[in-house]
Amino acid sequence: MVDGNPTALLLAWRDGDQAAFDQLVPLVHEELRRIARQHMGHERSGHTLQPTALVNEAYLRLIDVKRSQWHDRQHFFAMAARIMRRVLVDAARARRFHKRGGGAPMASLDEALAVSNERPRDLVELDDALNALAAVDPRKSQIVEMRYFGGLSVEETADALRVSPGTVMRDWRLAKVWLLREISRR
Amino acid sequence: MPEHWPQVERIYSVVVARPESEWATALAEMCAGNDSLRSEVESLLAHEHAARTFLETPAFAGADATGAIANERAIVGRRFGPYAVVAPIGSGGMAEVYRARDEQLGREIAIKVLPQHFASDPDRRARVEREARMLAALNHPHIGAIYGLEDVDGCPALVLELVEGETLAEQVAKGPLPLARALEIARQIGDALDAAHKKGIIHRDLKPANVKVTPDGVVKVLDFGLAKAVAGDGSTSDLTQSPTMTVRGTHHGMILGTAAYMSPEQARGKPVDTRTDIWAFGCVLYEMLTGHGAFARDTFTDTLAAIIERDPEWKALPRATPPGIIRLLRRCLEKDPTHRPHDVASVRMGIDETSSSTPLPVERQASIAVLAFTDMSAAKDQDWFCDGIAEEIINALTPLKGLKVAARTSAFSFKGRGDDLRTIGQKLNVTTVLDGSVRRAGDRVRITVQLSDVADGFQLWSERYDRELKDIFDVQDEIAKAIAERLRVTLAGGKDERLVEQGTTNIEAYQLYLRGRALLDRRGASVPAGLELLRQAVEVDPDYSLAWASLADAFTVMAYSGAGPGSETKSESIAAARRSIELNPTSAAGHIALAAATLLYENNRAMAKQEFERALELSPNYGMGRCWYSLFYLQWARGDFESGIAEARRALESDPLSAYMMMNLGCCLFTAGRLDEAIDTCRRAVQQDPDSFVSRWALGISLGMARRFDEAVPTLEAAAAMSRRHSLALTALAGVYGQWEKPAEARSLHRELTDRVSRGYVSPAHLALTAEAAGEHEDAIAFARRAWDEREPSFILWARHFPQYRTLHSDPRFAAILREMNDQDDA
Repeated sequence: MVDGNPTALLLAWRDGDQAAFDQLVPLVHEELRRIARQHMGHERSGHTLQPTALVNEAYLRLIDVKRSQWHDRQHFFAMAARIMRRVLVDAARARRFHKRGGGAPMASLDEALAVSNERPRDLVELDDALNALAAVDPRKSQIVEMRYFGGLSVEETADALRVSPGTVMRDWRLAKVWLLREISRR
Repeated sequence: MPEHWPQVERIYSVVVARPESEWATALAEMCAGNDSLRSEVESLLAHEHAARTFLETPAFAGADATGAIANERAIVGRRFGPYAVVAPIGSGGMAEVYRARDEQLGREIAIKVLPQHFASDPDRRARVEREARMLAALNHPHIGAIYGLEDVDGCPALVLELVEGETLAEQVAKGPLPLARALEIARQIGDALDAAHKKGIIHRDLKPANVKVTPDGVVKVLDFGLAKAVAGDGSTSDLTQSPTMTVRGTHHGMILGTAAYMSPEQARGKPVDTRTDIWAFGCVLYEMLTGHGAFARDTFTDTLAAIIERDPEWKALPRATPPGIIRLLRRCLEKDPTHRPHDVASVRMGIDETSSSTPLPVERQASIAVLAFTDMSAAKDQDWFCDGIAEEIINALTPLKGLKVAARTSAFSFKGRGDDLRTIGQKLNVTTVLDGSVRRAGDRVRITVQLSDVADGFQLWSERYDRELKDIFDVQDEIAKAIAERLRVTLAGGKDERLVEQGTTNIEAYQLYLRGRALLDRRGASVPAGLELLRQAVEVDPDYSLAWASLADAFTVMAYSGAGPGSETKSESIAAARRSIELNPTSAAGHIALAAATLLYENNRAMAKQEFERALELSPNYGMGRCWYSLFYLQWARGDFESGIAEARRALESDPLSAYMMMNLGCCLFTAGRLDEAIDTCRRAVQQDPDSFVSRWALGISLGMARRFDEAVPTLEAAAAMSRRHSLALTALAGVYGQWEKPAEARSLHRELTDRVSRGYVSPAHLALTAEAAGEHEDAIAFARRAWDEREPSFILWARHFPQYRTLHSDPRFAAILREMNDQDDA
């Protein structure tokens, strides 16, 4: 058992310590939340906080860069992608719930197009489908998570998973059709 | 499923790497007899198109993850005054925006509230009220309007005009905008800024994300949250209001979104005035033209450095950018505000001067392309059925108000090419694409359809129908209605009205008709088989108007291509056309069939004219009908070349990717002697559909007329090879050799045709032409006489104006034939 130092936890996780991962997630999550709130507190109108920036910020704050390597950064990002997924999907679920609870009509196509960035239904459906995919092929599910929710490039994803970029591309392609089929069946 | 997952994966990767037309075959090979494996891979392949753009943009791009992560408040579903909050629209640092419904006035509005953690901050609350007053002062068509203030949990909230549409940031994310459109948008932004500045208000936060373009192309500048009323000296140095100055501790990419549009004076924390907006305006215009920010860099520090020190990449502007616009941009983006234009009005004039052309409307009408469905049947023999279903859906959607539907041939031209949705959408200029697959096994049919948004590949809707074959009409109708509903298009008439015109209720007749027509459309050697199926279709359902019309067409096509003597099919063709009209007097197809039949078999130009005109009045977008009208009637029957070309162009416009319609225009052009245009047009027709015999035939004739013999010969040889040496190809080829003064070659072709006479029918009209080319003029005249005496349709079609007959016109015996033709017609 390593201590609560995020850098130590990250290195331990890299070396295969799953418990370290479980300890690290809440730390990172809390840090992300803190940065986001701070941002809301000081920022001005309309400034969009890009998660990539948010995650970078958290990484720099939590991890001692001198002690870690490039590869560790990708690990950190993979974890952050999981957290971002949870946050975005939870928000979408909450919105969906509000919508139903409030007796308001479900989002029409019209709205979905106008508010094209936020598609709570799609996100929730995608999340469910990703869980189903994880049961069949965990790596593909993870690749989608890292690329779609974490915004990682093919190379970064490949690096974090220690596979070739070609494998990531093949998995990515198949994962997408699989997910679309899954969503269409629901 | 997981147990054979690796196998599925492998087969999928192999199949998907092949051209789409080979998928079904490859799949059948690789799954040899393993049905469950095959249907598994098949069900994945069905989503391949939609998957290409699916998830390609990360979840948060553009979306505000900050809002999500910082726990939003439960506002949705509540009521404030007359407003019922329906859904969140977005949230930024200083506000959350919701869509709400004004129950009193029955309209949708946007409501902008402070995030909860600011709700008790008196300074923030005062700022909301100030924004409200400023907006109230700015009543302008290009500025999002304010309707009022409402109390939300003890805090003022703005009630705003709900502006539908994409933000400019979303549009630019897809790539640079066309010049005319960028300038039109810039002009409207300029109007908005000009109005604000005249009221003494500076926006201070102008950027693509704060500009919306409505579906009608109207620009609205939003978010005056940072705007400031200018003090007496025209400037403000309220540092806390400057986007830069608020950043504490968090430099990393946090404010990149806005930093890139800050003026140098803002970046330095100096006083700003209206010229800060002019700078931002320059940034926005630059970004619209190039697709990327003028000063956007990876980090905040680099961005600031670029704003203060660097020039934008001027070379990134498109080549077509007028010099006047480049000058204007350079002036707007001067580091020193005193060197910038002094007011927006002069900026606007700069744009107007360089773009004298009329502004193009920004179009975003609901539009759809229905692609040919993919045949997923084992034997891959359901092509006709797939096309038929897709076509019925097109026919059902076409008359709907407010919906643009890509024409059949254009939409079907992507069949088997594996282009991604975005490419297809752009080529056909549509916003949505429907594709699907059909799998038939005996009397069961499974149809899978999906409607996708071209812009982001997201599925808007998808459905699977497992039905009995006899329910196919209901399924088509269901699909068409679902699409109409999804696209929010007005359904003509009542909801229960059938969209798919049901020509028959007999599934067997319907199938025969679909297959027959598919063969007929292929022309050439497929026509007799098509005719046979159409004949069976009307036997099975004698009341099937559309099938009767197609049957008449099949006879006519057979006759004019010289497949048999006209006398054998004349009465049947005309009777079939009449029967079609009798069953459905408003069927354009029936009137076209009658027009063509009466023109070609009976040489009755007056009646043909009447029927053609009636058909085109009933259905102005019936491209195939207009083709025959332009070429058969206007050009070859009347010699009215210019009208013929104009009508042929109109037909092509209705279906711009149709090889047939392009070929038809090519024929009109060569008949009129406009050879360069004819060659160019026919060449495009060949490129469009390399398998089309008739396109090559027309290209060869055009080349021959232009005396480009060494190109004409191989073209027509290719046409001959692909048509089992059809007499039409040989006739044209002989004509080229005749002109080239190579009578030996022409003679051998003439011989080839005369030799066939003992084995089967050869049209005397064709023999007349090969004889003439071979230098056997007397024979040519004799064949022509026989052709007229037998009322040979291809002679009636060509004798008057087809170029190859022109050398015969000077012979008095031929002139006599033409006189007889005209006299008979006039009688």
